[in-house]
Amino acid sequence: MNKSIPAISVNSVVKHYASNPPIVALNNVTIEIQDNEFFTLLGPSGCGKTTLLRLIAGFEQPTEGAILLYGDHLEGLDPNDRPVNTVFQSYSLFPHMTIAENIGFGLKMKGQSSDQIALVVRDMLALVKMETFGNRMPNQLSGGQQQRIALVRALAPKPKVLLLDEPLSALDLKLRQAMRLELKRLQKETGITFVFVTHDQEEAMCMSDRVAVMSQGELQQLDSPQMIYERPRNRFVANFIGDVNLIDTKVSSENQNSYVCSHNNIEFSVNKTSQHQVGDQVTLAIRPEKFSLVSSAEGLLKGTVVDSTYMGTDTYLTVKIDDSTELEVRCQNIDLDQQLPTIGETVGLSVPNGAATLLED
Amino acid sequence: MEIKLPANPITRRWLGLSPALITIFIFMVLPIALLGVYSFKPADSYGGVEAGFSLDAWIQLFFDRDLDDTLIFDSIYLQIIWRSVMLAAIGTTLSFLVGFPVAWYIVQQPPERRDILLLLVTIPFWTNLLIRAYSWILILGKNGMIEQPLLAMGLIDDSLEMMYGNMAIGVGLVYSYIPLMILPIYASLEKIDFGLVEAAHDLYADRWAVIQRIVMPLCLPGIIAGCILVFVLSLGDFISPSILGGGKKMMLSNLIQFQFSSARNWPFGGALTMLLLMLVAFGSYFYIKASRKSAYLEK
Repeated sequence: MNKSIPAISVNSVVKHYASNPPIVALNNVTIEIQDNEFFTLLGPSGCGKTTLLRLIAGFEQPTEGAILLYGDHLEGLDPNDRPVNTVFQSYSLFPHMTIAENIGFGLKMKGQSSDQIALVVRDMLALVKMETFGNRMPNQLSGGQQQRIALVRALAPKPKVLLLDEPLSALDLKLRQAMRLELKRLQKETGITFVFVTHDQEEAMCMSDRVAVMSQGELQQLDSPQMIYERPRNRFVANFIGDVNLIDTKVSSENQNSYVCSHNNIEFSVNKTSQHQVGDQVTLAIRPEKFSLVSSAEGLLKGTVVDSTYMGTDTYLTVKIDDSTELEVRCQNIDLDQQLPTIGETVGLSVPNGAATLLED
Repeated sequence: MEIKLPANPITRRWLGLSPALITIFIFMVLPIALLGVYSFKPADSYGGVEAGFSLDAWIQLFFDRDLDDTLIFDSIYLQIIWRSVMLAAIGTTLSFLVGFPVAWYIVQQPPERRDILLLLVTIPFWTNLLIRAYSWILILGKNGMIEQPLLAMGLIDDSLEMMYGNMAIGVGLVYSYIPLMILPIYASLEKIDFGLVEAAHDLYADRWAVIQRIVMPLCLPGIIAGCILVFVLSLGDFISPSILGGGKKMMLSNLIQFQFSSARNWPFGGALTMLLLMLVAFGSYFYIKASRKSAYLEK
């Protein structure tokens, strides 16, 4: 495999469903997934992420556009002819086969000898620390165990790319957190490109090398988890990932690298991440934890605390800076003696440089 | 008015089941038991039975009585039984080979079309069995719908002689009972999680491998039910053999019918009936056992 060729290239893919009314599941999506990457497709249900996964797996064909696997066109190939395996949301373990037979199924279909299969099955069971489970039936396993088996069943034939369709969504929280680490470890150990579909932003953040945020069949942003969080491109991404304060401003001046945007005579300096003219109405996004509380005399912003909620790690404050704008502010609870403002108190808020992001829309 | 139910839950359960149990007892268990009893009685000359105990009917199954009352082994009835079993087995196999793909096709259709197709499958049941059997004569018979065009085109010179033989009986059996193969198979196919089919497809199984290794094992209960239904009814069918087979080849069912009508030998008819019942019961039992076993061993 040539490492410089993308593992998967999705070129201007359109997918329509001829229902009534017709559904546009994917609208001109172009994505390149690199070799050995943990890549996540993130979005709410109905955003087209699962459709894209099914197109790559070959269960459905694109209406327009092409999908390439390491430079080879996949058009017209059935799922069984694509060196790509899927981990299904509902696991889909074959109920009439033992765990070992489930894991060996792909290799058996590829025509490998039973000795070879037995070796791989043993390795795969060891990979998820379930060495003694080979002879059990799927219904004798817990949800988390079934999940692990579904994972190694798809890994056993050594696919070029592993597709994971919301594989953790049926598990309880603790198990889900453990499986995140396990998935990340497996990806590193096997060196296989993972394409992971999820609607859970936390999952996307903690495992992925890069995340593609999708909405309504379109790609919204493709970036590292950090950039997705710190530099959301538009309102959708800013709102979908984490909590955010959106502030309506007007571009008042510009210089080479930044704009000055003002809101009620408060001026924010922001990086030029998108093109605007002086006088344009623009939206700024500031994450709640970026603010720091200062005395009301100092600080860029001044406002009144209207609500305060204790959340354990943080206290969430709602600060009203003018009649139309309330900001959510998060203060970390460092110790018991910490003096937090009470409701009705006037506070000042400082915003570090670069904390505000200019949105495209 | 207050009805007092017995306190014991077991008594209550039996009480609840009693209408069904009584019906089954009166209309199924009793007549069959009566036939069983009749088979051990001596026949009288008028079609009834005399008092007493006699094994004559059962002996008649295997032996012929010579003039001097010595028993000579006679396989004529065994041949009839063997022929009936074979024909029923072939009919069942053909029904499965045709019925399974049909059921698999129907289950893959969108829900509205499925209902229509299932309705079409059951349509032959709406017509009298006798009429359906006669209509096959028009299709298969001399100068029938198949032969006529072939004769006219000069592809054949003489009648194909499709009627009144094993082939015509086989066609009749498959045609009559195929819905009973399709419906149970469809019912169990419908319950299969289609995600499993996709998963197998994803793991390099082609269409045939998917059917062989995933679909068939998972719908085995439906296949077994369909095969038993078709086999049992084929074995007991007397319309196809007598109309489409022209009555030339005696089948077990014809033989039984003959004993109770023209031959007026009720004890012998009873013995044949009991034999048929045992064949079906044992056959089904072993078939189910064997299928279950192979389903687990196949893996």
